[in-house]
Amino acid sequence: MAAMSPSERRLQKELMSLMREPPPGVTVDGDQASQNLTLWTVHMEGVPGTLYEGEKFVLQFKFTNKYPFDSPEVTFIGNNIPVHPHVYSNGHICLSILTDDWSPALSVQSVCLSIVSMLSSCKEKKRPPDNSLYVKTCNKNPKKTKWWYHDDSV
Amino acid sequence: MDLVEEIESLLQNGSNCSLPVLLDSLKSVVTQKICTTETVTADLIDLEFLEDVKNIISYENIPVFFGKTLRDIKCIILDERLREHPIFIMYKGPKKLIISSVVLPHSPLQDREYTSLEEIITAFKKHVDSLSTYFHELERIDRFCTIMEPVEPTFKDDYRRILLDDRIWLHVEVTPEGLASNIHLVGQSELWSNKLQQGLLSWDHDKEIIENIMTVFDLVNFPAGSRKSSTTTTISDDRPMIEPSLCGICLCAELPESPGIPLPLCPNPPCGVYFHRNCLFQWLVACGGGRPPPFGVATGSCPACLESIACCERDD
Repeated sequence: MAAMSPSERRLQKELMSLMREPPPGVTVDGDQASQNLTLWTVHMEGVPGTLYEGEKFVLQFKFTNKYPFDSPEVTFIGNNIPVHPHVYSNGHICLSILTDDWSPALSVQSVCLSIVSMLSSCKEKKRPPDNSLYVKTCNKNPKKTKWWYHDDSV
Repeated sequence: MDLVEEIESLLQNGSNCSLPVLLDSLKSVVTQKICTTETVTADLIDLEFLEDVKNIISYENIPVFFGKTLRDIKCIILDERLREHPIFIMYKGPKKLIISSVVLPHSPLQDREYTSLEEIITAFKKHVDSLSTYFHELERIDRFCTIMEPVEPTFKDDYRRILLDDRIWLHVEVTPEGLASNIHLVGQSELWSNKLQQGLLSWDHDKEIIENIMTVFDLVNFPAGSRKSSTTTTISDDRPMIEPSLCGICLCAELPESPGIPLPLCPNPPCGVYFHRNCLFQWLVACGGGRPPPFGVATGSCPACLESIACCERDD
């Protein structure tokens, strides 16, 4: 096997630690991720006591070979896209750490935790106000979107 | 009895006789076979070389060990203070020996070919003797200071990074003559760097390096770090044995492609996240638009705590 690149090495380490000690309600599809380190599927459960209790979501992480200098592309996929003011019906997520505020000190685990807490702090289940326009006009890659962060509270 | 069986039986019975005796019997078995069969050629066993090994063991009193194959040899040279200096040698062919590694700073003696073990021993004995001040200085530093880098210091490494406080290390290189050179701080602190500036002027090369450091920084003893304490106190203590902190960016300790270990580069005391200089520099340059920064110093905010941080490409 060829030597691992720095991004593969880091992803491998993250995968190992996420499989060994996953945050509550989060599981990574380890088999798929170890087949292809640049595409991960993460299963997430709605936290009990929140609006999303009992729901199951699927997140997709795509990494470039510049990771962690380049942020991962993170979207909700599958049939159940959470209804949330920062989540568009095509699965795109408006979360500043995924673009402008990304830092290489963040990780898949910290992104998952941010998304869990974003969902958990939701007061009312609704789509973003510009959902239909955005979904029609946006690029397939959410990182190409110039986000206007709605608020800093969640 | 065939040659292989004969040698095998020799080796099995040989457990109670010494190596020179064993070599002698091996030699007699082999010469006998060569005479009778004449199919075994001399390159199969180099008798001259066996003689050489035997001489070294019995007359020079130098221990010789064989590695995975009989071509890999280790000799141990003792210096005047009875420190052990292993030399790893590879047998390339008759009268062709090369040095595969030594636990000494690099010297041109390693780059040439030798015709006999004796020649190697003579050359390195002299070399080791000439390094006695070098060994002494490093030994004193290792004994009294907490060494942050190299992770496992040996005489091969001619530098030490000494813990001054939890953010500042002192880098010292030791010349083969045992003198300190390229002394500088790793980390940013006005206090320590003022002391060093002042102290370098009065550095006394006749005194030991360790003594000079204590005078320069006004120290009575050196701070103990996690690394030192784990080796001096009990092993069951805690987990961070010699495990260096990981880089907050690549999550690794030592990288094959770039030298150096993660350092506490962030000047914000509560942050405490370690980074490889190279990883941090790469990130700060990328944040600044990817162009090479002026004067080779990239600035921006710490990836972990977002406080202002500066990082130069090279560590000097």
